[in-house]
Amino acid sequence: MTPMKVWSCRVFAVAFACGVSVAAEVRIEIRVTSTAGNAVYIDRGSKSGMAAGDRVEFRLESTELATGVVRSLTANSARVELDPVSARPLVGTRGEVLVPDARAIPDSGERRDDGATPAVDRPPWTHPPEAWDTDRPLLAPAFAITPEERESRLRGRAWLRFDGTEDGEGDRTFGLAAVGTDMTLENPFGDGGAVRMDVEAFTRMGDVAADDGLYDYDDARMRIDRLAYQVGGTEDRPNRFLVGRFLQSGMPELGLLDGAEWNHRTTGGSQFGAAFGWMPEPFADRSSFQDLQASVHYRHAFDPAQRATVGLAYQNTWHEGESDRNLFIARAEVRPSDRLSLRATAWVDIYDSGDTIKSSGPELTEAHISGTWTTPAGDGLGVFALQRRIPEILRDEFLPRRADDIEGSVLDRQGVNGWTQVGARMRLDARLEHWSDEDDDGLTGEVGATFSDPFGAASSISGTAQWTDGSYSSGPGARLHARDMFGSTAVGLGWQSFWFSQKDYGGSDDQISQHSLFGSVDVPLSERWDLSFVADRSIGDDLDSWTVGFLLQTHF
Amino acid sequence: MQTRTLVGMPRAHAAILFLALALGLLACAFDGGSRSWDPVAPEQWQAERGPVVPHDSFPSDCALCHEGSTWHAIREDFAFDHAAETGHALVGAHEKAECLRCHNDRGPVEIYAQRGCIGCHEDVHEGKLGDTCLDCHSESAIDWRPKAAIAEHATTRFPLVGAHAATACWACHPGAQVGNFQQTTTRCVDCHARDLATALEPDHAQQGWTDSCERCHLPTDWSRAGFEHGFFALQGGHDDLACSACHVGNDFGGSSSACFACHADDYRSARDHKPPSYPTDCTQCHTIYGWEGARFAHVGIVNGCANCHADDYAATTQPNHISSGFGTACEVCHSTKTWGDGTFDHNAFPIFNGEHAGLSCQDCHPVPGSFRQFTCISCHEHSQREMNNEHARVRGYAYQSSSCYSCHPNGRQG
Repeated sequence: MTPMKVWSCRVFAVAFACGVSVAAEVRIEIRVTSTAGNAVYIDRGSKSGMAAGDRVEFRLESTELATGVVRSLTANSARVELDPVSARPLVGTRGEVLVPDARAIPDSGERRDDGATPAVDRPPWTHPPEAWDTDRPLLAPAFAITPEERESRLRGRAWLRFDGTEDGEGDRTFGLAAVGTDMTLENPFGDGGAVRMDVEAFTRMGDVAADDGLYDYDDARMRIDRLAYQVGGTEDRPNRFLVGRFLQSGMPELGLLDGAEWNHRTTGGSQFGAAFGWMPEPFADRSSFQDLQASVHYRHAFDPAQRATVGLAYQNTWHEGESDRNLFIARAEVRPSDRLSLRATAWVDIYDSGDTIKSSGPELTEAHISGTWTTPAGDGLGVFALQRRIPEILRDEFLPRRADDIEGSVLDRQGVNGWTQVGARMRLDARLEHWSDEDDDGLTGEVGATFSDPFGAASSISGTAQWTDGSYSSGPGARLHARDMFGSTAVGLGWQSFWFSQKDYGGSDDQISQHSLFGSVDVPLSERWDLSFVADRSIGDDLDSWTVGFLLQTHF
Repeated sequence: MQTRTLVGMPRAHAAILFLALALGLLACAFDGGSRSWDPVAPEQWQAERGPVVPHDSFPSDCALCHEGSTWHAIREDFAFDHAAETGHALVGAHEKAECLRCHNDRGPVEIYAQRGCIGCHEDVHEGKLGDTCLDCHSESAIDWRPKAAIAEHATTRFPLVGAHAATACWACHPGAQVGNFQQTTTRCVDCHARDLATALEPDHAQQGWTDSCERCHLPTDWSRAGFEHGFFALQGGHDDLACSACHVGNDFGGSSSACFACHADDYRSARDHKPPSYPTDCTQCHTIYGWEGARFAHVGIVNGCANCHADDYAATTQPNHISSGFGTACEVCHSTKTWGDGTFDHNAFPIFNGEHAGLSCQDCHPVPGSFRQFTCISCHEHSQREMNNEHARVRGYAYQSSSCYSCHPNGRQG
């Protein structure tokens, strides 16, 4: 066959194929009704003859091309997965689907007997007509009923937990048993508000036989973490009021409060508000009424999606009637894209002549900066930095510190971590952190790998090697952890070892090793009950301990 | 002191257990269905609450989700692939959560979700621990408790070494139970102030040892104090002594490492140890492991033995050095290795070879203990008359041993 004949045959074949194709397809007009991620929903489905796999082409106002493939469909709608390079059509965008003539069904309502499920018999429409205005489409979507119209409902969880450690080498025992609940009672008063209660009763004991009771604990207390009534703050009610014990919602950095807070959200998403009350101490019993505070806050949203916000808060406190803290808190969050997130928070104390250790003027007490970048392939990179000083405050907020610590101690930490997906079942992680304080500095890091589904679905095994360089101890460590599912029960088993060298110690026992074997069992007893066991066996230099614990919790 | 075990809880804690039981029963009662709302699957909702979120962004085909004779019913086979539909996979607890926990009256969930965990969850750490919650927590419904605490703590300035790895978090972080891990120092003394206050042997406070515990102690156990005592090794019994045994009056400044500084009494009571001729540098003879087995090196000592060994000199009977008129220059006959190798210089009158070899001392020195006296004529049975005749011309001749020796100092004729 000569080349000319070959080309003639090819042209004929293509022309024939095109002719057949054109003659055998029907063009179905569609319109986008909603969007979700990389998919859109269109207003035609199997009743129009469409089937999974059909290609859809959207007609955009711009010159961009938007195409996709039908992945699933119902009688009158279909989910179209957009091609990777496709533009994103908006709701209302029109387009078309080419359906083979053999499948095409006229929209007259005439159906083919193709075995499809008959249409559901709809009941008569009983919903009362809603107010309508010209800004609403004729076919109005269902609107939520307001919070105050809903039935009162209690939801939350309750738990019973226990953790105990017994160290035979040091003849030391620690135990913590607790029972608690975190529950929310919605709309108890018919105004759409909610009562939040988070309480825990616990008993602790600690016994170090060799210390003559210096550090022994033996107490039983009840702690109230939250007991507050909140109303508003929903999309339709821009003012939110909180009263009781709550974490300040406008700026959580301001802390827990026994008092009241008002917060207002503007239509642009910005918020401002004020709070007044006593600050419970951040310890196990949450004792209160020693530190009075007043605060104001403002958080500005630069766009409705709140991809860029900055916030500023001011807090003034009085400890047992004496002026204590003048604190500014600034925060910024920027997410230029779904793949990049930047965040920064700073606490700045203002000292005056009443402060005896710190010099008058502002001082950066604490700052956090972090950023995370991810890729569509599942890789990512994170960085962070923080600086922390000890504030000069009267409030009982941390262990007593020496004056020179308060005056001069500063902790800096910086770190970078990254992860990458290697194939479908392997992920590599790495982390490197540097710290420095007024006495020393160190570099710690770790690398690890996690393999998915090595034993079956939902199983994993991971291994990590790390290097630690602490203030006094440094050395390598390693750990392995495997997890598998047996029915709905998750079982984990791991091992870790460290080999530390003790700094500034000239004796012969400056090498300290410790090894741990640990495991966990998570059992969903029912849809509402969970039970979790953990156990740890650690041995090493002057270490011979057992740790056991369980958590029994129910959701309601 | 009474030692407790994990099961040996105080009786007073029965109230807590009672409360636990009460709450458990309450939870069971809720779970039993005696309430005004019906349990629903996570993807369902209580019909009596009406539509909770606006549906204006939902697909227009209601049958995608609803079925039956009322719009209040969600299709039994309704399933929503959150990862495929939204690009955000729901993991762990989020997979089981009711949709309305996130999609509710607050507004578009995207605004909250993009802020990470703290978009929806209260930041109980009040922003002080950053926003990388998953460093310590997992999304598992059960396992929201911190994970890998020991390993994670190793990335901080203070790895949990030894006893610290078997210590309850709240023992060091008094606010741990409420998520407050702030401002916990890494200095030993800040947590162990009570140990410092009771450390009286030696009195740490008096000595000014109020910081840098790590220079002496291991983090595994206080009792394994490993003070760098390099200038004087704590061995051979010194390791069991109280510090005050050497550092009297808790005086740790300028302590001498010389044995004599502590063992002067031992020196004085020891036989022969008499200053100033006897050295007070005990290490010349003794080791740190005990007084017994002393070995005097005698390095550099070439005379003056009797200064230390006068008793030896006087007590010696074989031969009796005093009566024998031996001098006290012991080094003439003895070495520093042993008394037994004494080699008297008898070369002037050879007794180790020649005709007098093999004789016993008593053969020539018949008076016991006196080597000044000797006799020649008791062995040499000469006739006095013959000797007199033979030595007639010898001036000063006398028939007595001293005369023999004066003319025959080497024991030979001639």
